[in-house]
Amino acid sequence: MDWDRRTFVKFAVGAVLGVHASPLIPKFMDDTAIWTQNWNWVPVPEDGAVAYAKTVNPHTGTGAMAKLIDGRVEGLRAIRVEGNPDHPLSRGGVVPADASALQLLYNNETRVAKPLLRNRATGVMTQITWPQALDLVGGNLAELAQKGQAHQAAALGTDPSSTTGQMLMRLMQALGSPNVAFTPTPRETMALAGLFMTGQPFLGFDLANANFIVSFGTPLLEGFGAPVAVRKAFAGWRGYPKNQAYLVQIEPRASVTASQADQWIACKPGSEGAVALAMCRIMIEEGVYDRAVESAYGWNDVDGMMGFKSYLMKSIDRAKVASLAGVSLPKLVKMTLAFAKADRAVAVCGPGNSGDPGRLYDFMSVLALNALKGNLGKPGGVVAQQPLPLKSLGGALPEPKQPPLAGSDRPFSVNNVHDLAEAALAGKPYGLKTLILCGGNFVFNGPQANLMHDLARKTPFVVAITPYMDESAAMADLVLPSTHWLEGWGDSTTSFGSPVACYGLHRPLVKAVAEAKDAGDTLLALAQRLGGPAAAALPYKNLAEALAKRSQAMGDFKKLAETSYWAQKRPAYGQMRFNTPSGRLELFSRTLRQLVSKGAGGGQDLDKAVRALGVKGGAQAAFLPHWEEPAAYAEGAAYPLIMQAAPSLRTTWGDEAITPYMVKILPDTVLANADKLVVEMNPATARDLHLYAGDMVLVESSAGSLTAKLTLYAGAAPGMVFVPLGLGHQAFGFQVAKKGMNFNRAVKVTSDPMSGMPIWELTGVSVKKVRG
Amino acid sequence: MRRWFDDLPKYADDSSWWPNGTTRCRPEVFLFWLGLPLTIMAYFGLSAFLVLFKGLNQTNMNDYFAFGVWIVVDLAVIALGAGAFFTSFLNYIIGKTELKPIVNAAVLIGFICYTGAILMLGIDIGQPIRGWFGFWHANVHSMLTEVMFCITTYAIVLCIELLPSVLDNRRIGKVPEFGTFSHNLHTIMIVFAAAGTFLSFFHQGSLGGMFGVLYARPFAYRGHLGIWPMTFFLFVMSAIAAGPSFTTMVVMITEKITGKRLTSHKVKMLMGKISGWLLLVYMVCKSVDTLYWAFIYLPSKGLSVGQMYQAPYGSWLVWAELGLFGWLPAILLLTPRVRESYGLLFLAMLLNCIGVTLNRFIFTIQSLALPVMPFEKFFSYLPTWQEWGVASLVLGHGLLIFMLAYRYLPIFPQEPELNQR
Amino acid sequence: MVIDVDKCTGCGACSVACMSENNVGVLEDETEKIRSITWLRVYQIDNGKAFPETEVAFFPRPCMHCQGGASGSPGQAFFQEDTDPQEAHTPCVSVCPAIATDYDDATGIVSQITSRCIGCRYCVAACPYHARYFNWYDVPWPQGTPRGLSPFVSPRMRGVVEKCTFCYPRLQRAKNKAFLGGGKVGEMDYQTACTEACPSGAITFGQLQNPAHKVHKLIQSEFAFRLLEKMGTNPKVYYMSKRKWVRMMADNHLSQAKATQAAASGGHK
Ligand SMILES: Nc1nc2c(c(=O)[nH]1)N[C@H]1C(S)=C(S)[C@@H](COP(=O)(O)OP(=O)(O)OC[C@H]3O[C@@H](n4cnc5c(=O)[nH]c(N)nc54)[C@H](O)[C@@H]3O)O[C@H]1N2
Ligand code: SF4
Ligand code: SF4
Ligand code: SF4
Ligand code: SF4
Ligand code: SF4
Repeated sequence: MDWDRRTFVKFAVGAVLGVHASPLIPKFMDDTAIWTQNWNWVPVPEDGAVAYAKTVNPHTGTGAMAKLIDGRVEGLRAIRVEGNPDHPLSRGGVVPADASALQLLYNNETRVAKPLLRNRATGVMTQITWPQALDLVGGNLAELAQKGQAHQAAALGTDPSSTTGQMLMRLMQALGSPNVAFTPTPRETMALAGLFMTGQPFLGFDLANANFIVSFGTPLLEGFGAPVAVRKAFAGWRGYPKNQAYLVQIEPRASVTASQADQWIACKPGSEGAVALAMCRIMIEEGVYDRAVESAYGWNDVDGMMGFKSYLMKSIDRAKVASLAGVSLPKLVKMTLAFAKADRAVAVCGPGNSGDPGRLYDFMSVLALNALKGNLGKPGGVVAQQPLPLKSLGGALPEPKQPPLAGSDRPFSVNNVHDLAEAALAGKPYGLKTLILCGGNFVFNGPQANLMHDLARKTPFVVAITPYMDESAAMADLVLPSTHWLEGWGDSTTSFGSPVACYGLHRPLVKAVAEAKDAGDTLLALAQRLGGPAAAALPYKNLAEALAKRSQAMGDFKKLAETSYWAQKRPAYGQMRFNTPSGRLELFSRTLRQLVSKGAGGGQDLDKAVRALGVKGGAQAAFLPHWEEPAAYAEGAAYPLIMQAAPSLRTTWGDEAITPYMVKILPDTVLANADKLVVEMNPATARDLHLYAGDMVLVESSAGSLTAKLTLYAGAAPGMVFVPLGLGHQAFGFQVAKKGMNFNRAVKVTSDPMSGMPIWELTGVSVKKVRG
Repeated sequence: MRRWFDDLPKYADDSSWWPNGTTRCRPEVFLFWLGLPLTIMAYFGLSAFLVLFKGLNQTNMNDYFAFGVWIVVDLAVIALGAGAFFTSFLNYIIGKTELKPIVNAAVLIGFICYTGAILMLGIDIGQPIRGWFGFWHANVHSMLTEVMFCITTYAIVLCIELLPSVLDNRRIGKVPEFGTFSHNLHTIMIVFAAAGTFLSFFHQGSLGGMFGVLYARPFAYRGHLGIWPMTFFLFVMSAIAAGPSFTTMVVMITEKITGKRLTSHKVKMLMGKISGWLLLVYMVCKSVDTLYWAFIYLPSKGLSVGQMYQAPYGSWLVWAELGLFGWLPAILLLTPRVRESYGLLFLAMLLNCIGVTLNRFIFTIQSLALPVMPFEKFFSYLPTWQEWGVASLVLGHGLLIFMLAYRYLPIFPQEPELNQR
Repeated sequence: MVIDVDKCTGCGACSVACMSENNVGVLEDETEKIRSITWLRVYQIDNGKAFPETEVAFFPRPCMHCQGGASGSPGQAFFQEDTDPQEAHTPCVSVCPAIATDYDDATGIVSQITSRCIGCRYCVAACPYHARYFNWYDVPWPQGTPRGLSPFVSPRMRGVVEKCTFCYPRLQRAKNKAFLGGGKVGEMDYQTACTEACPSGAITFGQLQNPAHKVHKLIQSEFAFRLLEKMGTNPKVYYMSKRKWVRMMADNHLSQAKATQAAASGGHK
């Protein structure tokens, strides 16, 4: 056949018709449509049967529910963390850290999968087996014990009340070391204040039932106790057309709490305690206080020493305090009268914005104010929590022979990681050979991160038991993988400030990553490896067994694990029981006095002993709620500004790291311009320093420094600089690392007079413009 | 005098392809100058590759400036290319045959503008492979759907309108089949001119409508006449006012570069007069529209004109767009003495074309820069080099096509006659 | 949806819960806010006063699921209305050339079908609330992280637009469950992830037109208002605040009269 023109045309037409008649065109279009949706780097999550499991996030105290999917290929996995509506405190709510917990659970770049041994010289990590790892730690500890140097091994943990924390204490004690220390928290300060004044270590605030709340510098809405529980109470305070409760916030910054409060009383930093005392005096002068308080021990002078009333009359002049704190006196008086008149009013103390444990005397002052209000044991007031019905893990162990590194100079030793680090680095009275970091990321969280960094660097053998390859793990000689709370067993106890006792239990809901073990199981294995007293002190097969034993009184363990919590039904209303030496409320603390006299060697020169502890007011004030100027003011002209943190649930809560989603929702007043930290200052202060919005500045204290971009915020108190908390990680993958700088590296930690707890609420700093 | 290249072997003597009765520069020189569009095309190629391969993050567009320089250039070239449909319309349908000497050039320029715009749009969308979804899952309410349909269809019409010029090439025309085909095409060209006019009218309008319907964007929104917002009509008017100017400008530039006279000045003056009258009508409507928007519409939304102009997009833009590049060229073009002068005519046409480009810029960029949310910030935007690269496509492929067409196709029927020595 | 600005503490739990529900990705640099995808963005505003009168408030902003076309609509005055009164005229929906976003008459939900989106971003330009986000980048999923993704919402590819869908798959699941159980979808059967997550109970979700639902009552309140009310977008997200400055700031088009009236009857500040 010839290819003439007609043949060609026929062929062409035929081809066109043929193609159209065939399924080629629709098929091709369909395929392109599908193809554009199936890039191989866009993941396709596997489907499967859905189930929910209840649990408690030990870091936030939130009752949570893990949404689980059982896929045929991928197996059981968690796809979401939601709130548990049945949990009595958090009632279905979550904070960002809960909602994004999976981002820390499922990230191969940040999880530790197997035991790793680091070469200090090269920094190279090599994988080793669990038996090898246990031999290394066990051998090291056994050798120290054998040489009588057990005390030169120390262990740091985050929560002494958790079962893992208890195991850590028992293990070290059985080994012969007194050096176990924990992250300092306001729970300890509250326990001391409560113990000294009421004989009750577990006090809480019945926020949900209060209708007038005065908060002294405590970030109620940025994170306080179990953050969800506080918000649930807050939600109840709001209403239309009228609010159900009146909230007063006393602090230097127009924070979230200050803004959402019905009244914000802007005060000078650190003067919150003085304001509380001024309120006490105003109430007395106006005669609007609960007369029952007059029967308290120390209301009047005792044993020739000043009582609380005399102290107020002598040292707390309402006008002077108002001017010292920079607040308007008429406003303060009006607010105090409203507080006194309200039927369910409560004054709240707690961690400050920088998250330190709080100043003991401020806590005592706030308790005194509550006592004057007469709300102890009342609905909407201060209530004593029922102690958790937890059993001990075993009998008492012999006290180690050597004195502990931390707190030995205090009448009541509160072992905390900061004191331990300070003493160990100074070699006073001795240095450390081995350091076990159990759970917490101390090199990042500090307090005073530089110090913890030095401790990890200078201690010859450092072991990190951790789920993540975090800043602490990066410095350890040996890294032992532990489980994430969704993968393993563990527990948590009542959060700070809670009016009711609440226990949280979490259990393995998904398979643990590679060779990760529960931290408790690692400690048990170590005890086994050490044998002798250590093994005897911890006779458990695994953590679950220990948990079951400890929580025996809460009923069937399996059921408890599935419910995930145990909680006291309702706050203990009624007359508060005072377990004090006087059997009454003590405004002058006899307990405290006894402790100090004992420490001072029979009460010879009490005043000298008290001053040596750092109480400037001397013996006349030391046992009373009273106010002293914060140490940050004494930093001198080189550090003329005061630095405080601006906490946020978007950056951190508890000791877990910020997650990628939390980083994502940070506004550009916190993190900006390709991951620069942003600090905030009052426009007038900036003008005085010749600084402008957007400048890069160096914020420097006597302990460290950070660089950041400056933003001007009218709500920041003059003379201060506010720094976001929780940023500046070097670990946790490209979505979290190298974002901003770590507040804890600029912080200067001081000791609270009397309690000796580390305090870092305020730091004296200088702020200078730098290039960048 | 002998020049260095005179000794080179004559591989490419293409004179037999030149249009009848014309002379063109030597192939070597032509090849040398082709380097310019090819360089631009290479710049385009690199930019386009980066954008397609790495994604639109290669641009400086963002969720606030969802549209950027590409859309501005698209809108501008489509408006400037309106000379094609409007001249065809006047020539074939109204019967203004005085315009015949420039119709081919107008169609060619239109073709360049539209193909450039379509290519750029293909790169502008985030999922180019899905570009056809707009036809398949068409949303009849969307002005953009209308734009997509009309522009693509009109580009095909332009190809057909351009075909006779290609077939009339001296060598191609010798093939008997092509010759006949070309002849037949000429006779039915009126049909395509009509189709082109219809399509163009709608997509020029829809491009304006795209902005006028954004009722939650107070800067761009305009009241409606029937189903169309005022911008629909304003865009049509400004496009047909600027299109003839642009066509004529391009012809004038070509004349300057080649040193030849391509159309008589009478034709240019006529184009200028047409532009002038249309621009006048447009300016009247645009001014009324602006006043209505500024003093009736905006206050009804609790807004003021002042809020609409923030640095760097300040109120100078209004004076520039409406005064310097609006009323001024309208008056100039309607002044016979200006039209008679080659230089002044060119200047007036240039101002006119800048005016329409500025209008498209303002509607695209300023509409988006203006924050509508009370607590949003005001943003400004600058394109990246990749964006300029892609945008330079129109220039590159325009030059290339125009150079080739000028050399080989009988675009300018008056050329042999006007250049007889 | 009704969001109580006076209860919102800006904690961002809603935003994060939304991201985990809907498989939103995280880029290496998320400070480039003009390209960062946050279906529910929590805006912070302040009253502009100097210390110590400064006060902040938060506006969580999901997609408003605008219906458009109702009262306060454009073009009432001189020119004709451009929409059929029967038909919704959502700003973003009417412009999409590919019907990749749609207004569902039955639910009032504005859907987003990312698998059909061609990425022209016309809808982004049309939305005054900046509720629409374009995928400028390929989302990086660090190794292991896809395990935590939900199979109920497809992760998006580069080059498409996404936004809040009122957790549409949750409605689908609720419908399925109701169908199998033979009942109807009740108020609590369909709640969005952000509503559930909010620890302050600032978000209430339900059917605005159903008198049995909480939101129906809430929006009758004189303290209830919407963002950019006057633009005629007719959003389905309401806000509440007793604070006048908050209400004023929410809508530069809101008449002083309306804000004052609410303030007079019990609001403070
Ligand atoms: N009374 C009555 N009831 C019927 C029927 C009937 O004839 N009469 N027909 C039955 C039949 S055959 C069917 S198939 C069903 C249909 O019932 P449905 O499945 O409820 O279908 P639609 O009403 O079309 O709603 C689909 C919704 O999904 C959204 N959507 C579309 N694409 C996507 C997507 O890719 N992703 C997401 N997230 N959303 C998307 C749309 O915007 C729309 O809101 O109804 C059944 N019910
Ligand atoms: S019926 Fe709807 S989905 Fe199907 S082709 Fe037509 S428009 Fe598209
Ligand atoms: S979770 Fe609730 S309180 Fe937190 S930002 Fe969202 S709406 Fe506000
Ligand atoms: S808020 Fe924006 S994206 Fe949502 S429906 Fe309205 S216009 Fe569309
Ligand atoms: S970007 Fe996608 S959803 Fe938006 S208008 Fe274009 S195609 Fe429609
Ligand atoms: S309704 Fe669902 S999709 Fe929308 S913001 Fe809330 S959680 Fe996100």
